[in-house]
Amino acid sequence: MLLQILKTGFQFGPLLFGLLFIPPATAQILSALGWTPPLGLSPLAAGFILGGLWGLYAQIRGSWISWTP
Amino acid sequence: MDAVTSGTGPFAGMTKKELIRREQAIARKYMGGVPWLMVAWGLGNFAIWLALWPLVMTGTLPLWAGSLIACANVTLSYLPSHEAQHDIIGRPGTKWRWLNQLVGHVSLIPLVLPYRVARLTHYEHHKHTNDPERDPDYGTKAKGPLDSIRRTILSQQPGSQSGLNNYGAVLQRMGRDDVILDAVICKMIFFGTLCALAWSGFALEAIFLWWLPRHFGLAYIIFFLSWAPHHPAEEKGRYSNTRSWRSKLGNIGSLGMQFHLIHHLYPTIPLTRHPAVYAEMKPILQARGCRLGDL
Repeated sequence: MLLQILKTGFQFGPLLFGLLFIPPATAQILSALGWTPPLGLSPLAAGFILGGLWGLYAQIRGSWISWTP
Repeated sequence: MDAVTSGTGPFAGMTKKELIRREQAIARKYMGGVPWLMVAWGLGNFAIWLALWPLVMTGTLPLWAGSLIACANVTLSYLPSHEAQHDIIGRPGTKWRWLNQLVGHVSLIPLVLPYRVARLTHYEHHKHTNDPERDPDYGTKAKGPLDSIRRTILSQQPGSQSGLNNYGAVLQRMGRDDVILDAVICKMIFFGTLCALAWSGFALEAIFLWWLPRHFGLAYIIFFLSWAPHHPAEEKGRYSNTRSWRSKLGNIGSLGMQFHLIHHLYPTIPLTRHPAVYAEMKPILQARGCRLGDL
């Protein structure tokens, strides 16, 4: 039962990683590089957009870096 | 009449029975005792990796330097556990068993690979080496070095069914759901720690001390421990499923895998003794027709 719950959670791993790790990571990378996001976005908001879209892509395609897993 | 071998070298033409007798006599000389270097390697390597975190977070060590050391740490994290997986440090029921298990579990932490998962799937690899259906590491088969690296990167993608992502299916086939739980919990702790670090302001440290080194280490380990010694991964026989070869990075740079053939023949011989075993056993391996390359 526990395994099933955890495995189900893992099926959304890419999306969760995109929303929970990439936003703060993006904000800190932008800050370290001294870059400002376009359109007046805050670094964290830019991270949420990047992470959300990239995570969604990886969730659907099964890969972060290629069209097929 | 016992079969006669048809390989090369001074022992060619000797009966297989005589060859195995000589082979086992050599192997026995190198078995036994605690490989303390591997114990120190496993625990020391983990301690160094752990120390990187406060050193980098407090600015004592620059992040780039910490990342290079972490890449080495993760790359070096598998082999001590590998000794433990084969009960080399302490067999069940002996006084060093606790140390065997400690090294087995602890040394793999930077790699985010649970000891029981590594042990069970590795035993399957030994039992079914190069079997497309049953060897858990068969997915590392590749056309060449660059293809191996490319396939390793792709195998780390969430939808991949090869590489470490295939271990779950292997464990399910073995009826070990309890061990799959180890893997799931381990991965959750890994990603949870990365996220916690990122939201605490340490995202760069999370990326460069763990996430990136882990990818580097996995590619290095899979290349030298899985792809290179079994390439082209077509033979299944005891003397033909693994090869010897001369690595451009030397024996240390290739993590001792130039002599991986010895490990597949006698898995309980410690890694550091493989070169000596190989030197002594080489005429027998030649007579057996093993693939020895130019080593």
